This record gives sequence, structure tokens and C-alpha cells, in this order.
Amino acid sequence: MSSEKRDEARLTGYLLGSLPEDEAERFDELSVADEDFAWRLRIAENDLVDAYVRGELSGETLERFETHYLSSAKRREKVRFAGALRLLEDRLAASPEGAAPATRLAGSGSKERPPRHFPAPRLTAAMRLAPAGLLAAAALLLLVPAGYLFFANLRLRRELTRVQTQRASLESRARDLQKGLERPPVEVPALRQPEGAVASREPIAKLQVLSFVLLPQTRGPGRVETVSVPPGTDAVSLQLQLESDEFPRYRVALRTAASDRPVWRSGSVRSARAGDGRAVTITVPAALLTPRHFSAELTGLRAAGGAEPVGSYAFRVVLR
Amino acid sequence: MKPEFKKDWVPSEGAFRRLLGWLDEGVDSGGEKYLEMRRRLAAYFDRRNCPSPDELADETLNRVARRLEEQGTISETPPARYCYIAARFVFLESVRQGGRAPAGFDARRADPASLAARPAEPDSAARQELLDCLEQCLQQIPPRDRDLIVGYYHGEQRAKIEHRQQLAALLGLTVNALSIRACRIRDKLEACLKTHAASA
Repeated sequence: MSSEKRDEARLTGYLLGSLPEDEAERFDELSVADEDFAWRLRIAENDLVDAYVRGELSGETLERFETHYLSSAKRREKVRFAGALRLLEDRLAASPEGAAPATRLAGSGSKERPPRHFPAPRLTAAMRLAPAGLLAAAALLLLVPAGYLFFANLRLRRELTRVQTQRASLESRARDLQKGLERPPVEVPALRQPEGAVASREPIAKLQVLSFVLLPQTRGPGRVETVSVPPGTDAVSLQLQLESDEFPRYRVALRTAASDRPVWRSGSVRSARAGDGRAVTITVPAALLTPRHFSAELTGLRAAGGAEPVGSYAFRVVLR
Repeated sequence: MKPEFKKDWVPSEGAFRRLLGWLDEGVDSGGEKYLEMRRRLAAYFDRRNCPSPDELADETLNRVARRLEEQGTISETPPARYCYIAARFVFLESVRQGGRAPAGFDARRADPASLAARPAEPDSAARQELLDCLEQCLQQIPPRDRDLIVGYYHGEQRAKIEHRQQLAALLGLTVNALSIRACRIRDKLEACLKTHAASA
């Protein structure tokens, strides 16, 4: 079982009251005191309730759900809502515009099961909520393998097109910036400012790029830099100061506390002079920087091949 | 049995504002942090089988507000952790007052009659009503949110996971960020549906 699956199983166990008391108490604390954990728990709970109304639970999980989870009026409300959501999906699926969900058309192997307590009605009433431009779904299906996004409509499509265009432009600019940074040696202006402050705002063409300087965690134990991102920011440039510059190239992975998997990875980059020292600078799309704690993990790439962890740079993102 | 706490202190407007500011940690959230903390606390008491989780959440936040009023600030512990510590005391007091079933007690196993509380399978009229309420609630949120929530919850099991990955990629978000966004929208809809049910 992967660690992600194991975590999911622990969360489900917690929600169903089947964890040992000491572990449940630890989760109690995290559920209030740790933002990332609180969100993960909330998402897991929604998925669990949805699985219940879809008839996807079985065995001990189902039994615990019915004997423990449903013992609270507050939680029964959640089940009621999930049932309504399920009915809505069925209505959309049964509409003439909707036909069968794309996932089923694609033969994904997911089997239709009778939902628990909320039988799937095949409603024939007109879809009052039907998106006006379901025709656009056809175009989206061409963009997305396996034909997901069955429910996409014109608005979503326009939005996605806009986002994709912006993203492509941003990535292109980020590549340009990266190339610029790789030209040795480039004088990087001293960007360091008081902790948590915005160091500078550099309009590059029409891109709004903010720059911050981060120190390796070993230099300031316990201290977490604050990266303050105002609305309209396209990208954030992070200058990772090096204790020593021992590798010809580097790579950076951005992680959150909530996930083992990086949310972003750089290509291989060279260090450059920064004030009296050396630094590796990366440019990250601002859209990735949601308010939470991040860690930029720096890896050194040897000329002969192979890689070695160099350090990590913790920071906290806040939106202004 | 419902726990009863001494209600000899209620936060003044100033104390409440101080609490909001302290929870915000210097970044004005417009009360969002307070609501989020209240939601987390109520969920904690609910998971601990307390009979009045919302009241206990309010009691916890009142105590924190009082402490802030008395001390000016609480700087030794981060706000969220401090709230948990206060909640733990409130919980233990409620247990002592008989406001919670003992650990391991399962009301539904112990009392078969309580199974009546299991969500009844709605008949076709009730289904229609439920659906109508949800549709009205959906009309009250921005179209973009409406599209996202419908798209996010489409599909089953593995297909749903893959679908979410695709949706997140197209929106330029991580799956985690997409899930949080969907969760926030779902909360709004749940609250709306509850209001509809209460007024029906």
C-alpha cells in the first residue's frame, strides 16, 4: 500500500472512530491546529460521505459508517447533502444533452452500483441547470484524453482557454528568465529586506514578478520566511542563497507539508553571483503559491552524473 | 445531557474584534479565520460525540477571547494550537458534566431505536424537493464555482481521481488546491441547503 493510501486509510479510520485513542487524540489536535491536515481531513470526509451515498462502501467500513458516523445529526446533514449532489449528477447524466457520462463511455471499468439510500433516478425533467454550451464539451473532449470533463460548458472552456494561454505565456517568460539567469556571471541585486517584506516588484514586459531571497534552513533554525503575494502577480522569483557552491548545476522541487509529491520542479539551473555569495534562482508561477507552508528542496547535480540533496528553504505564502 | 457552562462573561465588541485580529495573525481575513476555526472546533466536538458541538465551539472561542481581553495578547502559542488546548479543556469539562458518551460507547449499537436517525431513503417527492433546493443554491453561487463543483464531483472512484487531475491541470492548479476550492464551494452549498431545509 502506498503511503498516500495509508494516510487516507488512517483518516478514514479517524472519521469512523476506529483509531486507537492516543492516535485519535493526536489527530484531534491536528484537525484543529494544523491547517493542511484540517483540509485533508475535510476532503477525505467529503469523499467518504460521497462513497457512502454511491454505495461504494462495504464490509467493516460500511458498518462503521452506519454505526458510528451516522450517529451524529451534523454528520447526517452531510450525508443528506451528498445525496442531493448525487441526484444532481444523475439528473445531468439522464438529460438528453448529457447522455452517458464520459467516463462510462470511455469504458473506464467503473461499474454502476446502486447508491445507498439515494437510488439513482433517471429523471427526464428538463435540465434547468444544464450548462448552456454543452456543445463545448465536445471540443474539450478533444483536448483531454479519455474524454473527461463531461460537464464542461462554454464558460469553463473560455476560462480554461484563458488560463492555458496565460500559463503558456508565463511558462515562456519563465523559460526566458531562467535562460537569463543561466548566463554567467550575472549580478543579482541585493534583494534582502526585513523578514516577510516584499523585496521588489519588477515589471518584466507585462508580467508581474515578485522576488524574494530565501536562506537555507540550517542558517536560521525555526525561522520561516513569509512570501506575500498580492493579486495580479504572475510569477514569483525565489533566490535560494547557497552556503557553498559545489555543483555545476542544481534542481529545485517545491513541496508542501500536505504532500510528499512536489507541486513544482525546476529544470537544471546554474548558480549565479548574488551579493557576496552565490544563489540559485527559480521562477515559480504564482498560481501554485496558495496560502500555506512550502519547502524548496535544492538538489545538486554532479557533472559526472548523480545528484545530492543540498538543503531546504522553508517559506510561508500569504495572499495580500 | 447537555453540558452547562457558566455564562458570566460574554465578549464585548472590542473583545471579539481582538479575537478576530489575533486569529488573523496580521493578515486581515475579513472574519474567515474565525469562521474556519469555529468550524474546525465544532467538527472536533462532533467527532468526540458531544451533543452540542456548535455551543462548545462558541464556548471555546469565548474563553480564548476572555483570555485575550485579560492578557492583551497570547504570544507563546500559535492561535490554532491555543484554540485546541482551550477546546480540550472545554471537552473534558463537558465529559465531567455528562455531556458526552464515554469513550468506546456507540449510541447506535446500544440503542437500535436510534437507527431511525439513519437518513431515510427519500421518496420521489422528497428527492425532487431536495434537488430543487440544491438547484436554487447552485444558482446563488458564481457560474464559475457552479461549473467547478459539478465538474469536481463527476465520476466514480478511479475515474473521478483521474478526472480531478485533468481538471486541476487545465485550471493551472494542484489537485490539492482544486480540492480545497471545491471544498469551500461545497461548504457554502451545504449551508444553503440546510437553510432551505429549515425554512421548508
